[in-house]
Amino acid sequence: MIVRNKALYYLRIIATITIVMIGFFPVFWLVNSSFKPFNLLTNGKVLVPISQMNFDGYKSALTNSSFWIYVKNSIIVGVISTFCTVLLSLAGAYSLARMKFKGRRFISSCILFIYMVPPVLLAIPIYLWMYKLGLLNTRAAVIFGHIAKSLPFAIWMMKGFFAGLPVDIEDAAKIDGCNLMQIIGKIILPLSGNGIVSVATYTIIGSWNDYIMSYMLITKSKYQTVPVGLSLMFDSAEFMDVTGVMATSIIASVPVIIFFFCLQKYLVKGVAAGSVKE
Amino acid sequence: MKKMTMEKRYSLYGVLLLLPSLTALAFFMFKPLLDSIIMSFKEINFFSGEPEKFIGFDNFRWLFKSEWFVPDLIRTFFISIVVTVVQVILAIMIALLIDFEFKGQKFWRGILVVPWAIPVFVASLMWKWLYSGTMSPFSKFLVSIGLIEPGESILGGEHALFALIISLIWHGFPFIFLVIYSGLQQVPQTLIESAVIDGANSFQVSCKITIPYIRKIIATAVVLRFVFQFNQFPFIHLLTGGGPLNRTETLAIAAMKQGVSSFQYGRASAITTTMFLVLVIAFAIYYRIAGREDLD
Repeated sequence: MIVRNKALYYLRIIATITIVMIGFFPVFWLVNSSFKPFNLLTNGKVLVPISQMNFDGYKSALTNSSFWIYVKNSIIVGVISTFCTVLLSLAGAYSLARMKFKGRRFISSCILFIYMVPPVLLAIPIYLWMYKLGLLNTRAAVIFGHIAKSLPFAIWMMKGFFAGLPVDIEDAAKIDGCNLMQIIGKIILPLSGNGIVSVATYTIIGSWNDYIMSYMLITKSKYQTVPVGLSLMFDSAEFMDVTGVMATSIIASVPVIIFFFCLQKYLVKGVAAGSVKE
Repeated sequence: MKKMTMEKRYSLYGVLLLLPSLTALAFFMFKPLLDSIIMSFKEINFFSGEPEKFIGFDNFRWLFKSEWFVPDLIRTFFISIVVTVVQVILAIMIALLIDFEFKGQKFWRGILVVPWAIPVFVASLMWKWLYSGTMSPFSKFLVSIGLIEPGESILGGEHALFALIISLIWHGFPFIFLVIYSGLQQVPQTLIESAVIDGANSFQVSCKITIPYIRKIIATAVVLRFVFQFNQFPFIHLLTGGGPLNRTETLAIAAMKQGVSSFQYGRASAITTTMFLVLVIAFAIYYRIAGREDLD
């Protein structure tokens, strides 16, 4: 939008900040409440007077050993499933975007339809499958589930990236006699840095936040991930340690939020690229 | 191998390269999908350990005859449509508003995105508290306008669905905003500038140039969001569990109820298969009407 005069300019800034703050308010309230001593929780006021700030909630969160187990599991699952998803989507998207072979159009069109598969639908057969394989209550099962959830969108995003890369470079390389491996290693990979980061960001955030796969596949606390773990903690702490639960939730959210802040540029590029059609 | 033409060789490479990831895709997506569809034709009681029985369309007959099926279906559609429309319109408005240079623009944009970054569990818990009668800073206000009794939660009353929809809009908004905003970045400045020279004001530029230019991205956002919301499970499950009295129950929640509470995996699969079919049909119709712009 074009801005014509200074008054409008500042008005626009104020409007923007106001809207953002309204949207942010629930989070602000949560963070604030986590610092409240227990007796002030129900006073219906938002701000905490600095003198009464109370770190009990955070103390109990940080000393809660099961919480750190959940964090460890979430990290392991997140890193491995992201790595696999990036590799698989790179290979799949490149073939779909560049190679000509029968059935290519069909599979391309299928990708969007695959996205329509409800995660709920996937969860039950994956559960039974893992049960038969004896993999229930393992991190491997959750990794599997996360890849299943993220792969279609990842391929879609990556394909959009490849569609945006000019083919001329690859054609020139082909004419110069490069074989496929060289093209991939020396040209595609360096150029798809953006795409890889986008897919990785999307996958790891999805994995960290995933609830349904962990919910269905893991019942033993030892292997549980953060989202379901938090709900377990909440159930057992219900009326006693509300600030503790708040503090734990905030700590659990912090990595993702930081990730987001730093990498939002790539997410934006990723979705934009995915929406571009040739 | 050397006798093949370059094109044929690359075609072979294509298949070879695609094979592992296609196998993986098949494993991760097609197999569970197929399994699910097959299971919807069987009677499976996981708890009792009885052998699976093939019962044809009985699960579907049970489903379509259940008195909760049509209300749930309508409700799921309703929630999805409202959330999608509101999020997209808000996203367009706010993206247009915020798309200009000022100090700290990136920072405020980042804050806008926070609701989506917050894990589902935290977000639903937060809204539970915000809607409660006791801890919420809004409770006094809401009691005074007669919406709830003191001490009660909105989620226990007749406005639970409305409250749920607001939370859903809040939580998912940033993603749609990012999609639209990134689309805005692709609008060529020259186009806007020439319109300004021709005398258009900001509003006209937005309506007649910017928005039409990004309509493909808007359509993508609508499709993505509708599908995602239709299939959404965790947030609703954690916020209301489908209650009170099933007033916020969606098909996804009904399916999980069958699976997790009753162990009737056959019936649960029938529900999820139906959900998938409904989406596929809905979008087949959508693409027929809107033209096949979005498909490859």
